[in-house]
Amino acid sequence: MYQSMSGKIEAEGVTVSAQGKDIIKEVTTSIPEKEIFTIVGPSGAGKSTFLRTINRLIDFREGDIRLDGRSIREYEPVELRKRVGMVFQIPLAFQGTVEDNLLMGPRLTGSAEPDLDELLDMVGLARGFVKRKASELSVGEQQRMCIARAIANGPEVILMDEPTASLDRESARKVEELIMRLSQEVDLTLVVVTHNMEQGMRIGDWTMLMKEGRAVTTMKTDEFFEMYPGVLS
Amino acid sequence: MNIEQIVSMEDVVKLIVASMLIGVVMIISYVRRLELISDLAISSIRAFVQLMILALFLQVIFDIQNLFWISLILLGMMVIASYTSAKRAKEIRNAFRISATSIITSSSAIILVMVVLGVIPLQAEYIIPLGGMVIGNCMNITSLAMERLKGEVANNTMMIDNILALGARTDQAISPLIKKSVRASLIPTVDNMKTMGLVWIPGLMSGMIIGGMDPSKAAVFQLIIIFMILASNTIASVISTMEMSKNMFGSADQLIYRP
Repeated sequence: MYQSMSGKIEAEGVTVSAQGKDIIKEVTTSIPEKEIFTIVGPSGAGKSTFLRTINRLIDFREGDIRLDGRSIREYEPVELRKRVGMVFQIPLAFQGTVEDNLLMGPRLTGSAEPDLDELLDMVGLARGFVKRKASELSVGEQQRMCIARAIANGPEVILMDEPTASLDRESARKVEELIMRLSQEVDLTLVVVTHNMEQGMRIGDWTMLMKEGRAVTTMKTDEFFEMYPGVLS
Repeated sequence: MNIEQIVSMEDVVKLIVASMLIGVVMIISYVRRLELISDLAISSIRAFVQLMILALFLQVIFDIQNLFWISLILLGMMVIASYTSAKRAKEIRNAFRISATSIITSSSAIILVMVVLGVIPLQAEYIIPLGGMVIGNCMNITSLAMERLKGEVANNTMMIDNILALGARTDQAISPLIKKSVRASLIPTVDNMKTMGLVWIPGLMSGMIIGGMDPSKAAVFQLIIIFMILASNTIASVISTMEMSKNMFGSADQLIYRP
């Protein structure tokens, strides 16, 4: 059910402007399908902004981004966001139960409702959580619920913006494991922004380094950390 | 025609006596260092000049009784109200267009219905003051509703981004905030209605009674006005928030209003 179609993303010369200033400058990169692609770099490098251009929560001024070979500008925003889900830094639980939260995407878009037990199993939450109030979950549990909520739409790609940054160490570890498991078991393309280089090294198949709005380099993660060992310190 | 045709000497004396109250306020301001003297002076003079000009102007219009001029005056009022309201939402694209759509649609619809149904006589001395009341109220409600929606969106950008990221349309993402803003903007109107006759006697009714009208007749007329205002306010609030919400999103259905 959650086997994705493809999920290859290519960005070419993507430039984003805000208040007359370019905050993302001609970013060109290729995100391979069904792998974990991490975007690393110092704060203010434009990592989150670039991530948000992929589902057009931020629009770009120049360049293009293609999903499975087709410009994302050609997709209806609703369709694009069904195919490219997103998980934010701070988990946001909508009013109601975990079930209400998990079914929100399919209900909004009029899609088929997913198997909730399967979803909860996937993110490592007990099936009994389904009727619990979402706001009563711990922050770590809420983040896993948010990941399940994104998967419920049946996407090919999930964008994750610092998904563990607001979690305690134990919850962060669980979410990290979940990210790696999802990539293997659900065949999703995962694009993860992290300021934590060690995390990038642990989870990423590919790493893109950004600085001052530019993509400095994109390469296989092990090669990246061999070439730039200094970034870990 | 000269001013004496409108204002008698006796009225001028009364006005001067009433103006002395402004002097008292100024003394209080001076003693308490409220720094209100220049504001009070300017606003008092403006109120005096504006109302006097209006009185002269209305006298001319009442004498002419021409539908074209009546409509033009109402339109002028609506444009000024729209401009004033738009200033409350300067940072939103097309602010004037939003407030004008809201104020012109809501007030003209209600005035037209009332005239067509014969509730308001098609005479300048009825339509202009009553129209002005409706337009003024629509202006206040439009400003209130836009201000509230701006605040709601500013406080809920995370929620909006989360819903949009789940594949929601912009109207689905913002409709709970529009609902809150409409409800909040109508609170003064609804509360006024609840306390009317208990806490305060509305200005129009007071004026009519002072002018010698039978209190029950004045009450009926006041109720008509209140219902007109409620209807036009509700329409204005809904239109302004819906129109404004459209201008808060970009072509990719992304939230662009991020203060």
